[in-house]
Amino acid sequence: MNREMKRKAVFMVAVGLIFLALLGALLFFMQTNLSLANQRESTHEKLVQMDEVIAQGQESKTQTTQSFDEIQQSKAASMAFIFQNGVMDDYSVANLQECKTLLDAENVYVLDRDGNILGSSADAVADFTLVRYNQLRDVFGKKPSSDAFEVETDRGRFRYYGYRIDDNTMAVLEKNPKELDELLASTSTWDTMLHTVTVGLNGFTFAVSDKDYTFLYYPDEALLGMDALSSGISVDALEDENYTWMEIAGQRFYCGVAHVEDADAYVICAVPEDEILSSRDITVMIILFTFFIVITLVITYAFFIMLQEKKKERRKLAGNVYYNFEVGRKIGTVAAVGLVCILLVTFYMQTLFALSQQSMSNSQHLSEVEREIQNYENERARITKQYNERYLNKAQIAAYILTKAPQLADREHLANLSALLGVNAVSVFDREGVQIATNSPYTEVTISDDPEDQSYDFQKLLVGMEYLIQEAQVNDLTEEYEQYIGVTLRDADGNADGFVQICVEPTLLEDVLASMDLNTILSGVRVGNSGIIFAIDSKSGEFAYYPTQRMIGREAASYGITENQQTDGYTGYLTINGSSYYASSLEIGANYIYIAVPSANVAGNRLPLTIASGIASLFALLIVFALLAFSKKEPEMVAEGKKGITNSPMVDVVMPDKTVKKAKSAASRWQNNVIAWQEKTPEQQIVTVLKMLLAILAFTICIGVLFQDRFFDSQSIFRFVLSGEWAHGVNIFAFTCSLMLICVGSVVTMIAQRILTLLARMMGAKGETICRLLHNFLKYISVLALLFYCLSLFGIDTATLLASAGILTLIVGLGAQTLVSDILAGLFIIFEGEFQVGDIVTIGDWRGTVVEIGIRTTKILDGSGNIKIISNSDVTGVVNMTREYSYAWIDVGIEYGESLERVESILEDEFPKIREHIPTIMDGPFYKGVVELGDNSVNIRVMALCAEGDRIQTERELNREMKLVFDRHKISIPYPQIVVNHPPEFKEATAWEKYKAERFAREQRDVAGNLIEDEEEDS
Amino acid sequence: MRERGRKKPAFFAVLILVASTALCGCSDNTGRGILKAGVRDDIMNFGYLNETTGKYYGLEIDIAAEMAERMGYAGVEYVTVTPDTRKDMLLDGEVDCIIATYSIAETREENFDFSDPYYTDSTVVVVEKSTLINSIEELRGLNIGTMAGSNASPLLATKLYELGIIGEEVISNTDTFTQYDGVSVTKAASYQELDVLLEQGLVDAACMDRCIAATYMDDDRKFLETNIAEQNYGVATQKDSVLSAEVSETIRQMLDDGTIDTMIDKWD
Repeated sequence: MNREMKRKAVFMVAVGLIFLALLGALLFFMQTNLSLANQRESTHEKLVQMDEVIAQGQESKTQTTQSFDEIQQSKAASMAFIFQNGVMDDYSVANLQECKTLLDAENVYVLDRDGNILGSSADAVADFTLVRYNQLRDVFGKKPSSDAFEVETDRGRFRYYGYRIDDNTMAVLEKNPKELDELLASTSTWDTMLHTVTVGLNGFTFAVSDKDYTFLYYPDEALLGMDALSSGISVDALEDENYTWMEIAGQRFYCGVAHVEDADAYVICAVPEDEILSSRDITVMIILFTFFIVITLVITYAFFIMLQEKKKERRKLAGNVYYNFEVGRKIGTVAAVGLVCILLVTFYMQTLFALSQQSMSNSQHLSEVEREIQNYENERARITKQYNERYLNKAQIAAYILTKAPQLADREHLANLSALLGVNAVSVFDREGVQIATNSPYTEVTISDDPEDQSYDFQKLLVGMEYLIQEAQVNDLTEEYEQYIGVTLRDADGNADGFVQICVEPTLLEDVLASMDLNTILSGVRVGNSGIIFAIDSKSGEFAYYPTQRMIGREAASYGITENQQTDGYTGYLTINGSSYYASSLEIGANYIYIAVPSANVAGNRLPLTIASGIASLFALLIVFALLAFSKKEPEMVAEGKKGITNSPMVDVVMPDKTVKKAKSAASRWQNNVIAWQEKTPEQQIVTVLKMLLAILAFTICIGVLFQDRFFDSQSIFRFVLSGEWAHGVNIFAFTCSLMLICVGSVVTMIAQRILTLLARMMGAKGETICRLLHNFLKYISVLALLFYCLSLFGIDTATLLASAGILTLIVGLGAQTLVSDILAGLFIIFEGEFQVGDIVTIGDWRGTVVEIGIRTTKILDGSGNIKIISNSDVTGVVNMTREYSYAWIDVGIEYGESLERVESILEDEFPKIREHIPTIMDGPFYKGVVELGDNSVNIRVMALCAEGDRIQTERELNREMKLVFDRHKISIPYPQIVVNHPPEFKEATAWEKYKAERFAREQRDVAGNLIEDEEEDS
Repeated sequence: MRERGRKKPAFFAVLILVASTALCGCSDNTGRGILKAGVRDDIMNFGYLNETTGKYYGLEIDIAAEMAERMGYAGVEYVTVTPDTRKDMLLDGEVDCIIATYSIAETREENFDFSDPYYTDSTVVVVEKSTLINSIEELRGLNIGTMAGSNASPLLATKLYELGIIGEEVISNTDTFTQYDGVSVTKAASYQELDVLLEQGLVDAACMDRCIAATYMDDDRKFLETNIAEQNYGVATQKDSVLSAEVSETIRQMLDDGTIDTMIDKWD
């Protein structure tokens, strides 16, 4: 790289980073605004809903108070009735105390007009003459009863109820409103109203008093009643319809405020900042990372090309601008593909996040509904019980009065009494079960003996049961809801003497219970994003509830909801009446409750964001392209460097279409060594860069998956996708989850393989073999395991696939035999150690080095660099030629006339030199003696030790050396020739030579004697 | 030029003040030091002390802070005053000024300097609904509670006299109880006590400023329709002190530039 290039590179990196930052800022800004706009909308809806909830709470408060007051007023009235009708004669303490017990009051008083106490159940404690108690004096006006009011006295808080006895006296009931408080607490306090309300996923609703700015309700109990202003909420923010960020107890929330005047409070829906921002961060980061990859690839690719280009192809454009063809063409392609990727990734990420967010909010919502229904179930029981108690008390009062004053058992008095008690009718029965008196239209009733009859139950009262509360039933005649309560009358001895029966029309109870009906509950649920909630009966498959009334009771399937969508925990798209919804379901009771949001509303953000990021990326890429492909300077012509033959594993490959491409040579593909960077083509370099970037991404995702508990909270989208709590099928979650798992799988496999490679390097050949096998094995296992798991995510039943007509049958059916035998053979090769990686073997007529032993095949590299791939089952008749040493030997013929001893002595001198000349020789050469006294020559054998890989070359070298030696010493090697006449002149060996030869032959025998001889016979 | 002219007196006031504080040596800080403001600690939205945090907040607190900043003080020290004590505390110099729902009244102007009113409130009568009292005329012969030391009692007496409910004569008068001809007035030591008296019926009605009453209102109580009087709250300072002109000018500015309106809106 020259200086100019370096400068350009730095410049381009800076440009890339700037664009990355700009795009990041744009996306963050857009996403934040869009998320906030969405949040604002859904918060607004929530606030409207809260208004209703609070209005309901207020109403139920009024209602509860009213019904409580009615009960107490009727008690005061009964007390007045007791004195009016002479049930009790005077206002003595004893009488009033009895009244107090009967009426379950704290105190009862009889007062005159001015508030002077005529009688009281306890020592007079309140001064009723005070103006404060004027309300009581209302009883002397039009109405005989007074409205309830509460006074906080030194003795505690009491509610007062008055009822006129006569023109100058009144009965007053003093009641501790504890029971009322409890009732109110369970229905209409801030806590009960707000604690189940969630906003978004982790958001909540709280209330702040508009009077003293204290928290009326906050999920964190420590803050209850605390000062909201000192917790960080600013007074300016507390305005109706204000949407803003608030910091409460150190945490930031996006809040919507509503001022509820009736309740003197600000209701605030708060969503934690990280909920809005975390999804934004992940989405934007992934889009940015994609952009980063694309821009990095474009820039680096351009530089790789420029560094390696041989011909400087430039076209001169206007002025002094040159266009680089090769760079332009290639990075143009990369940029275009990259842009498409960015668009896809943006769209995909936006869809994924919108859908998963919706899914989570749906399931959150559903569990809210479930909780609500559960609450209502409990509430139902509680309310029924409470009303029964109240009715019973009325019956007891009636029974008391009628026991004390049996003479009142006539129609007129009973009508009076039933009006006071607020019941439909009061009837008196004698000990035979025959009606004595009643004010109801049904007279002369007798308790039935037939267990089937409604009145049969009351037989129990005749045999001494204290009281009986019947379930409310529909009256056959009037078709009205009625409930009968009976209380036994007793004679002086305490024996059952008939009973009093009251008939009530439990309209209030009915109303309350009706409001807890599934339909009422569901119709009260508001789903954001103009979604709907509906219920399908899990047995009949009919709509149990639907916002449009006419759909209820119709077959859900006929409206497009398929069988398998009618399950618990469904998450995905469904079609109702032709329009598509994104829905989640939950089984609650006998129904599947669905929350469905129109598909179009789910991922509303994705299009603007995709387009924005697309346009921004296009813009950035165009500029980068221009900067890279156009240059001002004319390029220097570089002399084409000569390309020598290198040892590069990269070779030119002629593709079927006659283009020449670089590829790794066959032999190097199974080697562990890495190609030097310089030897790679720009394409390979860019692929390496891409691989590295993807590896980083995969690694990050892998870390994220493995340590999900640490990095993501339980409601994060990341964990939602991993949890698999969505309907398995072909959908974006399955796709994403598969992607994540593949990342984990490949990272784990990669790491394991790296470790294996390292191990292989450290260990010997055997280790290498095992490592390579494991490597191979890991690959298959991880691919298979991932394939199966991912298929199951896509909703394919892999178990069945495996067991039945699936893969197994396929394997067995289609040549599984070979596969199985290959695998078995492979295992045998490994475990019996027939050969291992690096061995030189001959298999059939194929000789070469073992490169890899796989599960199915063995790969052998032959001397000419070809790779032979042999199925393991075909590996038979293996000759393993890997030994410590191989023997290279040659036979040389000597003329018969030549002195063998001379030759031998020459050999002794020459052998060390030969060894020096042939570096591959590890030991020797050795003289192995005379092999044969041949027809034309005396054949001697020379042998040397060398590596098997060098054997053949060594033999050739030996031959050469021997020829040279013989030439030097004029030793002739016979060859077929016709000697016409040439008398031989043989030299005699000298005595010294003879001696030497003798010794040499002996020595050689000794030295080489222990080496295996039979090898030689082969040649 | 007019602007400049207007600023001049203020500038001199500052000069004089600096000189005087330097002379008397009562300034314990360099520069303007800390302004000691007498404020209420029990009136929501005006002056309220959060006992857990020890922080005051409300309209008057904001005004005091803003005022002190504009006047160049380093900060404000809030001192709780009650209707009973505020007069003496200011006279004794325990506080530099009073911003404590202190209404501007002629009697008070004799002792103190007041700034322009920053808030106008009305004095009202609160009754328990159970008394069935609907109009001020029905108070005839009854016992009305007020807070001792507050401006409400004289205003009430004046109004009742105007309406002909009481006569001119004051039959008896002690620190806690005044018997007029027609109505008696019980003076409670604190608003809390007044609240209890009203609740238990020991007083039949209570007369106080609306902003104070707001704290004690609940569903069982109501205001009588007739207002007793308008009350203008101002910042009080020692009579003819150097601070008076300055406070007055600052409050004037804050009223003119809408600062106080914004604050009232904020605390409304």
